[in-house]
Amino acid sequence: MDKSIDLYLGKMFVWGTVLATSLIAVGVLGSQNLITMSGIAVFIILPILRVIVLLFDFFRSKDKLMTIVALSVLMIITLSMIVGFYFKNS
Amino acid sequence: MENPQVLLFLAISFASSALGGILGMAGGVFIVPLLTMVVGVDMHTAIKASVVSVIACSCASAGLYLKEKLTHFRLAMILEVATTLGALLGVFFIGSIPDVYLILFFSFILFLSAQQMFAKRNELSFAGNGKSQSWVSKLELHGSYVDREKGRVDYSIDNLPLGMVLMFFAGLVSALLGIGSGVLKIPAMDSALKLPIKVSSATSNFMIGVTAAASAGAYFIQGEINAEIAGPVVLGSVLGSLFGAKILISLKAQRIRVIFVFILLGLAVQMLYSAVKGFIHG
Repeated sequence: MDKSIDLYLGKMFVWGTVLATSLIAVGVLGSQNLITMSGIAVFIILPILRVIVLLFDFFRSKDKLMTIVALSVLMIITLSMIVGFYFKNS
Repeated sequence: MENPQVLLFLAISFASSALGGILGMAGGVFIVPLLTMVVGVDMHTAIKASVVSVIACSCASAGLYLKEKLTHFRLAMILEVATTLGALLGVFFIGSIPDVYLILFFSFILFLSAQQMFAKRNELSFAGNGKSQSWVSKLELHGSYVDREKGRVDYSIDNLPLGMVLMFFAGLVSALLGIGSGVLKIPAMDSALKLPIKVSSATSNFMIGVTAAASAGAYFIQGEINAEIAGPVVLGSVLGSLFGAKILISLKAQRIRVIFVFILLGLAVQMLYSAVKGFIHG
């Protein structure tokens, strides 16, 4: 595995957190729910993006087993969202 | 700010996350009881706001752990298959579970957390029988990290199957109760997989982000996340966790541990009382 991936992901999390927190702060202070929700969406997307980045890294280093594992995690997350979409609570 | 409750949400989540941060755990276990019992937010709404704050705290501290190169990516990814499956099951069932049962379950988890905090970490051992070791080697899971004092520390992974089972339940509990499930992750990481504590903290923090994203993503699509509650709760949590991590260094952990046990027990009794009241009044 590429050693620099730690640093790359670290930067992604730091800047992602700054972006999401700023959006939520602006949304809360200005009572703009749409901006708040976009900040929340950034927070939800960040860890999923991390799985995608690692998936590409495993794929690039021809690590078949881990590529399958990462793909499975992404599929389960997608399935969870589909379940959320079709099984709306009352 | 039009809603005066915003400040209350901010204060509650800040205090919860700071408290959690001091002991190196997420604050969800405090946020949900405080939101429901102090402000009167309904259980489902509190859980769904809290689960976003769990992701936020994971993202906020991930940068630091990654810089120290303590996170075990491969192991995290493998355990995430189990935690996200658990979260998926939680998303499937949460809509059909009445508030009062969730409160009762939450109370049980609080009692369990108090008991766990009372015992010292690493006392339990669930050693594997060696059968899973061929998988551990096949997946190249043995790792190492550089300690500032001890130098290079090599470690191996013990009971992977039991670790996976515990992680599945951690994901389920996280989705159902909106918490980081430290109460299940700690035995999985320390007693079953036998990871060094630093690697365990970094890796489980890394994993909980994805686990909570699996459930929060579904709740987001359902429109079940309330911006007016989740917004200030997430904001307070991020600030609180940064603050708590700073105190972690300057306070003696053992002394606070006793206070925490009492806080957890107090909340557990309160939630049990409110569940029983809920059952009686139907």
